[in-house]
Amino acid sequence: MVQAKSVRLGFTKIGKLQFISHLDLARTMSRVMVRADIPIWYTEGFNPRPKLVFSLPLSIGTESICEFVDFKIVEELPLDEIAERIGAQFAPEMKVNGVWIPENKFTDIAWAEYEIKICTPHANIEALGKINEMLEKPIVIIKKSKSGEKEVDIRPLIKSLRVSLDGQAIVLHAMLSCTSMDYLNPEYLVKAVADKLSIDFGNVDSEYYSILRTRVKLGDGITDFR
Amino acid sequence: MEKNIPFERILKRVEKPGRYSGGEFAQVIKDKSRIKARFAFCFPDTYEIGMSNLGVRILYSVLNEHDDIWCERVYAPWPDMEKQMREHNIPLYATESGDPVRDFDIVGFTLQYEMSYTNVLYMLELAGLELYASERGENDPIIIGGGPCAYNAEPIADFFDLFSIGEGEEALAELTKLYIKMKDEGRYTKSAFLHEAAKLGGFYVPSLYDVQYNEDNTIKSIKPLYDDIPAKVVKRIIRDMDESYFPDKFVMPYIETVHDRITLEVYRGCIRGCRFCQAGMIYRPIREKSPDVLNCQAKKLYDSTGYDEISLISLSISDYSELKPLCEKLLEWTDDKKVSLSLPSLRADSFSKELMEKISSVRTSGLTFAPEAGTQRLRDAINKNVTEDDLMHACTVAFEGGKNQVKLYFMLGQPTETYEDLEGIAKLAEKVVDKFFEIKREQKGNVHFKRPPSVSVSVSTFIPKPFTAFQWEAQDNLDTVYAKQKFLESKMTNKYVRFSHHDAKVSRIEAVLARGDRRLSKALAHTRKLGMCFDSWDEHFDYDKWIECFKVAGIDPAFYANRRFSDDEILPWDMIDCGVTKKFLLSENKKAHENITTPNCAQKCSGCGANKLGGERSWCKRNQ
Repeated sequence: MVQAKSVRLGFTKIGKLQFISHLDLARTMSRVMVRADIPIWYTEGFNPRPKLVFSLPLSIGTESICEFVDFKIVEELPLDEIAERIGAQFAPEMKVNGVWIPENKFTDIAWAEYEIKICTPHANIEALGKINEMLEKPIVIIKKSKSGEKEVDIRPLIKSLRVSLDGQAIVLHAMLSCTSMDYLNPEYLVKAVADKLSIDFGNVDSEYYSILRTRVKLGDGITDFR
Repeated sequence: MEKNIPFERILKRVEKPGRYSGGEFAQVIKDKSRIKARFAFCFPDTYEIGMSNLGVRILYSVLNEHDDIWCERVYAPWPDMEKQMREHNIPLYATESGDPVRDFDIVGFTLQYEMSYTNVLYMLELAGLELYASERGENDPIIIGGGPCAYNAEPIADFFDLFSIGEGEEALAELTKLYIKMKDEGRYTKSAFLHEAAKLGGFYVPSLYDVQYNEDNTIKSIKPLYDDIPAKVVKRIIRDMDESYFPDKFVMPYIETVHDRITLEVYRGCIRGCRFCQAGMIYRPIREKSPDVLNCQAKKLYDSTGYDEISLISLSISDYSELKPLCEKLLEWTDDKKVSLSLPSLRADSFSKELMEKISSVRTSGLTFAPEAGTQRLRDAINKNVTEDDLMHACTVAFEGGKNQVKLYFMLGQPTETYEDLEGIAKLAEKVVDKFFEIKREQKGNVHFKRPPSVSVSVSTFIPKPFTAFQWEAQDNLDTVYAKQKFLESKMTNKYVRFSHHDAKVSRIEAVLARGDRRLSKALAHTRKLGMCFDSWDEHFDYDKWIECFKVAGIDPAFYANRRFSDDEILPWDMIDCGVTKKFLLSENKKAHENITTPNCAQKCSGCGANKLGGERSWCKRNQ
């Protein structure tokens, strides 16, 4: 047996699979590893499980083309073969983006980029102006947690925000903080924008939104996490 | 999924979108242009429950083995999803394709429990189909039912075109092939198809039988309308379980389901013959699978699913004649692969300590035991052949092994029950507590005994079920059940004993539906008018609504639930032959009232009649 080697898997989770929670994904991934016959390192103790460490949890309803999970292998196996085997065990809306030896630590992750589409009859130049205006002042939202409601200014957690129009949709390209201390769920940004534009998403036929996580970056906001 | 866009959008508005999103690994997707029959397999409850059902998993796979058949899954949407679907005009759809259920050729419902009947109607309505079979058109799907409740499906007979009686592995494909053949040959009409299906054997077409009633509301006659339709529909069985189809892969749910693991069916049937138990009769004759076959199926499923748990299921796992060799074979590789083995329904006294320690179900802190009755006298009457010694022995093993929790299951209101029997329940629970302290004293200082014992007593209400020795018996009326529950509660004084009981009202409705006849369909149709669904869920069950439905239909629930049916009366399910004869059941009923037990099938053949159906590796054969 060779020394356990750390490996990182990058993957995509889109479409219907946006409705699968982080916990469910973790369980699914363990089973994928078994089916793919990856010689993965198991946790020790009473109830051994494949040791899998995920990067940022993804909220239900958010799609992503840049998810990561780390594990250790206890037998030598070419990285592209690992990628191929795992890919064969994914359902259609999951895809392997690559398997490599980790270059950064999960704690190095500072920013995540999102592409947010808000379909609304309010999609016009005026709306874009209002969103840009928002950025000049604190953006106070109400965060609900177990201990109650709390007012938070999310403006410092937004590194950049580009807005544009795409037919009936407002498109936001946002880079949001995602350190463990200051994680900004993109849903809050959507909420803030919706409040500003008086959108309540009441009519699902004309008003709805989608969120796609597109990239994960290090502290400089430029270098991709690897 | 070829859904209009709002479908994905509305999933953001429901509580558990993973129930409806589909897209699971190993779901079967086929090219529609090559399909001759589309089969929608409906489970009338939530996704989490439906996905756990081994029968559904088997039948889904067996139908999809055929290139010209595409079987898809359908579950009952929770009311929050129903609201969204109705708001956006989305009819009930199949999980794989997203296509409306009403466009399918055959729509099959699995009928696992009576309380799911309201969901069957709820799903038909959501699909945009008429409830009554007679009101559906030539182009509407054929609606079929199967599973344990199909043995007396009379209360819902008017809503179905056909019922599959018995085991479906061979029957369902045969039926679908007949449908394809008749369509291909251009001689398909719904009525011609149903007539021909009724002649295949094992299919009950309710519209082909006429039921007449006496003035006292009992049944006067049940007669087929045509000479070539069988007067009795004999159930189908798989004769050789080793040869029977078993899937080598499962559709893998993402969200957590009730039984999210590999399930292996070790044998079918039961040797025990408890007089209240329907499963023990309708699945006869007992037929075992060989350890080698089971081990091979387990390995294949492990490779294809990646599950880390294997559960051996059957009605009473300890009765499997090759349990030890099977476990040894499995443990040869499961330990190494870190797969845990669980044996629900295992009797704690039936195994060596070494083997027990390796099996995860006994690693937990609890022991479960179902004496069903509080005294030996009543246990004899119901033919539950366990003794107090068995229970005490099991507890001794469990306590010595470091467990401190015992769950005891009982049934209240069984025929011949007295208050002495009820008191026996409390006494038995106390004896278990005493046993704990006795062993604690013997093993002084053992750290195991730091925690106090916890004995929970769970008491359900007796429900007379078709094809049991007690099918003629009356259920206690509500006041009697309440009085008995109260009495029991007053006797449960030990501080280590916790007492809980089922809702007597649910049991009463279940009794009405279990022994009901065709006249109940009017009441059931009314459940839709009141928006009733998910009646097996406490939060949805509403007794008053049920009573209203009965009133509208002019039904007296007591006639079905609380009346002793007479020995010679024609029973609503008399057109069904489950193998076990009425004569045998009647003699069992008589013996119950004389407190006489019947030996189990492994000891001696008691001539129940099921052996006429054949069967390999059955106790019937061994004891011939």
